[in-house]
Amino acid sequence: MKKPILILVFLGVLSSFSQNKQVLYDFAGVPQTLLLNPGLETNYKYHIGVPLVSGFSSEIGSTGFAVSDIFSIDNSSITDKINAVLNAIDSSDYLKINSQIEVFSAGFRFDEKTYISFGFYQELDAIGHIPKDVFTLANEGNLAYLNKTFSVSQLLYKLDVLGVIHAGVTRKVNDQLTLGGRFKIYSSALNLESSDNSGTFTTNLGSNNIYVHHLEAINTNFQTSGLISNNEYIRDPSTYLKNTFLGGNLGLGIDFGLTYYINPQLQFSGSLLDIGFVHHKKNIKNTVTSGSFTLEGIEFEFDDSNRNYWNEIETAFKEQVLSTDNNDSYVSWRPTKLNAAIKYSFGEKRSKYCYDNTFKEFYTDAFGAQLYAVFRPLREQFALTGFYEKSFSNKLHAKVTYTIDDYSYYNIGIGLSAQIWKINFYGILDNIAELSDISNSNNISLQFGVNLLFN
Amino acid sequence: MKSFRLSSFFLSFFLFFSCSQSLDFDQIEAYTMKPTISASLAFFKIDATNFSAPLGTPIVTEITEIVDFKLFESSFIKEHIVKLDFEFVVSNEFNRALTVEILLLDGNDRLIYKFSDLNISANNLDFMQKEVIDIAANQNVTNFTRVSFTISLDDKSTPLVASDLGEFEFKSATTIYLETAI
Repeated sequence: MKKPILILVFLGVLSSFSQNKQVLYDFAGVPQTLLLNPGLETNYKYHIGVPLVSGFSSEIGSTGFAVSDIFSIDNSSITDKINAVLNAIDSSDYLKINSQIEVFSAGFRFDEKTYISFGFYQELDAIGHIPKDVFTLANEGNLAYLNKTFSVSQLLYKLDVLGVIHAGVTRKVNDQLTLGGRFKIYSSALNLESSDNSGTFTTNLGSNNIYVHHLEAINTNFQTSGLISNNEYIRDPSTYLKNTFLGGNLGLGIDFGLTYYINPQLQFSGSLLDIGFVHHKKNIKNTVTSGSFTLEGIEFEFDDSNRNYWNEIETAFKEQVLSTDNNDSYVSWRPTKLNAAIKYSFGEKRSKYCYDNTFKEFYTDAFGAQLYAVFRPLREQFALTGFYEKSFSNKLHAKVTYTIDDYSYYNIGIGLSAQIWKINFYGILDNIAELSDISNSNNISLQFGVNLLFN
Repeated sequence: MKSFRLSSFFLSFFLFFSCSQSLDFDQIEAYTMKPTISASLAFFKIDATNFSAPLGTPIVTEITEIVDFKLFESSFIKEHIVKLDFEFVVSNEFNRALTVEILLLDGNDRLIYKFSDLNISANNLDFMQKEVIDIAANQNVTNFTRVSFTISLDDKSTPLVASDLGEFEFKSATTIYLETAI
């Protein structure tokens, strides 16, 4: 149990140097914005990402509690603090971790209207809803909860470790409209997921005996891919790393995006990302359980039959609550994301040097609003962002965002993109209002990258 | 150079101004889950016919069931149990006093633990008794795998006959107190 906690803490620390992708979206022509919308305009001839550091992002978020609620140093006991958190959360609360590292990325201008970009990145994406009933039962037992219905449906999680090979096209249709698409090949190294579980456990006062226990309509499905090979856990980390590159559990996906100028100062852009799936068929182990069972205890007959009551109950339980393992292949859908933005540009008009030896005019200031949605197993998650973007010169840009999402109503993010010679650096921080105490924050994220841009 | 200065400022701002209050992750070592799990055990309802003997055989003044009871088959429970409560509820409609003797046995039917007898007076419809076993003081209890129940008439000279009215109803439950660190 200590390892997962250490991993969480590590990710938390990792993420503490951090920010949110709403800032990166359509920010200063950074190449990685094409991964958020392949239909965004770029003005360079080609770009090469510095391997492993061209695009890094990490985010950890939790609703219902923050790290400091449990691990702060105060006069409360750890038991009291954990119990307080367990009391405060509900089954809609969740813990989310996402981390992406670009191993390789590049792009080139195919013709004056077409930009091709491609690359390979690895991603860890995990979300787990907090099964409050299961925690309560494990933490306190059933004695204090007679007649309470503990629900199994709260067990809902998905974890993916995968590599993504991608290639995209951005095509300027006319002065108003730019369209883009990206084709992706997913290679899953690890998938753990469980959803659509149902069933309840209840203990009531009985009539024939003191208590009666009910397992009602249990239906659970735990799927794993890439975790177990020949009935043994895969423990070698390098195996997971290798499997992120065409490792056997492959899938396909596409991104779509567009930019449309309503007038020279008003721009709409939008994208749908990761419309795709992974077909898991290698190193699969699934456990399916279904059935109902009622237990009042062991009823003695006193008939000298030497019945083995205990075995009878065990057998009846196994017959009525069937639990089976299988190696059936399955399809796992990627969490599809939606971005939409409206942006109004104003201020001084400046010009920047473009790939075709021309100069393009741009405004120094812009503000607007963005909507972000991710379609997750239980319910969608939304974030609404207002932003202001400022170009100090044609090589130095900043963006400030204010985001309302599941985690907070006052998330302020800041991003900076700077170009020195051909080297573009961008760095983005989220939740700067919480920088004074990141352990008290519900959501922290970071993005940075270094790319070479050539005009 | 302006870009460089601003980038440096940005990085410095983050490095110097982001902080976290002091946290102590070692606290988790002190966290103990203490679930208390209640579960039904044996129950039965008997009448006078259970004490009636076929013709020509000695009179029946006690009946016994010895059954497997693998509560500690789970090594998790065995390793983390600290206390075990047993609760008995009896309704005796017989006009006779009875005693219930409960023994915990190992796999070879050797005695591991004897409960206080349940001495139930005649026509006592609301008999209740509780037995609390502190595992630290009775570590051998976790080795029991069988239980012996014996119900006997206190007055062994006068047998129950099939025509005696009434029932003897027995209910039982256990509460298992566990303590486990994360």
